Amino acid sequence: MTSIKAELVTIAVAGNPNAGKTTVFNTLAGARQKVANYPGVTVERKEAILRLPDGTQARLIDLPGCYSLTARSPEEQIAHDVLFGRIPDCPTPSLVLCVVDASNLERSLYLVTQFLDQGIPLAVILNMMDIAREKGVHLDPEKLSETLGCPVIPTVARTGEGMDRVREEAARLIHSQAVNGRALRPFIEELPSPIAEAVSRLASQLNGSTDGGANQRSRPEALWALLGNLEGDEAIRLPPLEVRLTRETLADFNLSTSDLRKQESEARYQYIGRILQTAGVRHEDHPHTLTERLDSVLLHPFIGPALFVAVFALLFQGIFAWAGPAMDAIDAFFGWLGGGIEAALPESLFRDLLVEGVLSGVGNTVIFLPQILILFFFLGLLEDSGYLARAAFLMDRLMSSIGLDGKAFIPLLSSFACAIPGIMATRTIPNRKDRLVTILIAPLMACSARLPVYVLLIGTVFAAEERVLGVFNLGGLVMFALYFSGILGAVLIAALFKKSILRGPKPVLLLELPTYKLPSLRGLGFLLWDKSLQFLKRAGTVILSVTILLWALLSFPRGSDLAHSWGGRLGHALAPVIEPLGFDWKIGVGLVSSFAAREVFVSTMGVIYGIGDEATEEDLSLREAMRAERRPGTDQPLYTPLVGFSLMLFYVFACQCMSTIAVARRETNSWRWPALMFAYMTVLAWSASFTVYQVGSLLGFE
Amino acid sequence: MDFTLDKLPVGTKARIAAVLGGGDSITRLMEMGLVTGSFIKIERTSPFGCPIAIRLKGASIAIRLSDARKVVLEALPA
Ligand SMILES: Nc1nc2c(ncn2[C@@H]2O[C@H](COP(=O)(O)OP(=O)(O)OP(=O)(O)O)[C@@H](O)[C@H]2O)c(=O)[nH]1
Repeated sequence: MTSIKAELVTIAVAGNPNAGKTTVFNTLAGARQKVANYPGVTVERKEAILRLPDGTQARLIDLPGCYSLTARSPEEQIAHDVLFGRIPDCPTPSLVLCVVDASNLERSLYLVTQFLDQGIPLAVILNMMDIAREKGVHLDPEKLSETLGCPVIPTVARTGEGMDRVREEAARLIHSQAVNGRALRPFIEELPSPIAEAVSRLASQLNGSTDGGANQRSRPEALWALLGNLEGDEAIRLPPLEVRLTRETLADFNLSTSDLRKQESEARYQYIGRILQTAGVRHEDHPHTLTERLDSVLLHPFIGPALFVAVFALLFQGIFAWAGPAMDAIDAFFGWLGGGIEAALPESLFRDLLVEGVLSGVGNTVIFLPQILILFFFLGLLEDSGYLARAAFLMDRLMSSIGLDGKAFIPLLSSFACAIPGIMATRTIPNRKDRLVTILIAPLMACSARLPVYVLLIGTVFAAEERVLGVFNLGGLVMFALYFSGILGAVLIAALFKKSILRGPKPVLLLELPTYKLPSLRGLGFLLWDKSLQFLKRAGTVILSVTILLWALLSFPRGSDLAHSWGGRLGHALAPVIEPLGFDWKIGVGLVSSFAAREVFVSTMGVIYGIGDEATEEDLSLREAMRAERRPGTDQPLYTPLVGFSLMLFYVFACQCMSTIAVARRETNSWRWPALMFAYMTVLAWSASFTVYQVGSLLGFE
Repeated sequence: MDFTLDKLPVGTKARIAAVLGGGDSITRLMEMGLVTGSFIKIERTSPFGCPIAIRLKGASIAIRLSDARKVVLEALPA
């Protein structure tokens, strides 16, 4: 497999965000795609084998969407490294297909001219031609092609128009790289002073620093070194010697990186102006009428926020409530299957392992699919239609006041239903640190798995129906306090991380408000398929292993009851640690077992109190049994309102969920962040319960 | 008379005379077309006053007031 791959030429698909890169890639690649991460980072890499019309095969990869190749973010760094052949197992592409938005040509040419500087074989896919026509852009692809010196292929990727020509041109270009004349020299040869001098100086030095030979690439390489970040954690990846040479050049020409970037941008846009003039492109900047009309409502000062609330209430309702029946069905199915296996096989260790370990591990994974599908269905619709950008526009003020990106709103909201899809949705957040902060605080949002625990405990320790101040009911107030504590904790923890290990400037707002479009169902299908598969493959393995581990903990040594199992002993061992929180060893067992999923606490209590593992949070006999529990060594009731509240507070903050850890591992591509998440949440939970219980006891509450 | 982008009335067109300051935010916006000589118009402000949506080189992009203050404009002849 690898040897075949190595022989294939590589074609890279690049483009601005929103130009239709994903649609082009999907059309070319079809359904047989492989998704992986670029090494060491969480930037996704899609890959497929492309069969060209002349029978040759090529390896098609997608580059992260970006506006420029200046390396400042992980995405840009990757795009950069691919072009220079610096990614292992990913040879320098033989051809770049740059997807641009024809209705937005001037800005798209920014990236195109950067590719031309590189001297890499290039074809421009002039996408969104339908919108360009509608907008009144006059442009002749032939003339543009002559001006740039590379093929320019008009397409409407959505309908497939022009895609055959893309395949034909690709086949032609990977065989002959002849350029069909160009009217303008590349920008890199026309740099203004003093950038030109700085680039020439650095280029000759870089040549000397490597193998000495005349390296054609050294001018673009020098330009990128001068424009990239030289320090900080998003610094351009260069050998230390080259970083030093770059610094010296900047100092000698008395330039700062930021001055240089500004001058380069100004000069490049002037150059683009000349391209447009030479190619005779004219555009009357008619705003898109539909977009204008929709925005005047959707971004209206009063109606806009109201509709925003309505849209997201619907999304939340979807994940929270509509997923319920599907999850119940999955649960019932696995219960039925397990029952079937139990009936068919004789009682044995193997049978238990199969049913309670493997099967329930698979069930524990699949159970998340309804929520993931619903969230990404809505998210796909919102993103494709163009509304998601408006949502970020509306939320920027609020989210940036707590140091987060406007796009963090959706992952956090989704986490109120479940942190799994929430954490998966953080991919839209461009900055790595902002994304990590969002992932770290997402599990503090009160997810639906905590509800059964709250309902059971509130019902056990409080007179939930009691009225407070005439209007509120006590149970509701307690519930509100729990949700609110989670949010407050999240805000404080986010601020803490932003000021310490994930310190960074206020997130840059890089937000384009694209024209509204009808979402494409095909694209949505791809997205859902992709998300489900990745979740099952990557997070599923961790969830399965931990389920088996938990099963072993709770069922060995064989023949012992829960109290004497390893898990039960772990509960006993935990007792001294959790006693200051007001908990006994039985709660300890509950905490251990609810690592599978928080609501398992309820059925564990059911088993411990002899009600059976079918006990639900509404079960009155379970509540009675818990109320009858005495504090060890006394005849005082264990479950006082104070203990109940302390325990619920523990559930607010603790990371009692292996699936969250599994998905955080998958999304951050390291064990470091999930480990930190688990550690800080456990410390936070313990401290909060400790404070509440100890201070409460001192003040005479019980 | 020069003035900055945050002072431009909604819906009025102007031309960018200079972009001040440096930093990641402003240099990224420049790559998106916020360069000297470009025509610019504020389409609308968000309900909280910030960010604002501007029309630039045929696209709408969002920009915060803190960046808008760095964009010096010249009025177009009426
Ligand atoms: N009208 C029209 N819409 C298109 C065309 N190509 C793609 N679209 C739509 O444009 C939207 C964005 O397309 P994507 O393929 O997701 O764009 P992308 O460049 O991958 O965007 P990112 O995912 O943000 O990188 C989708 O709603 C597509 O259906 C086209 O040629 N014409």
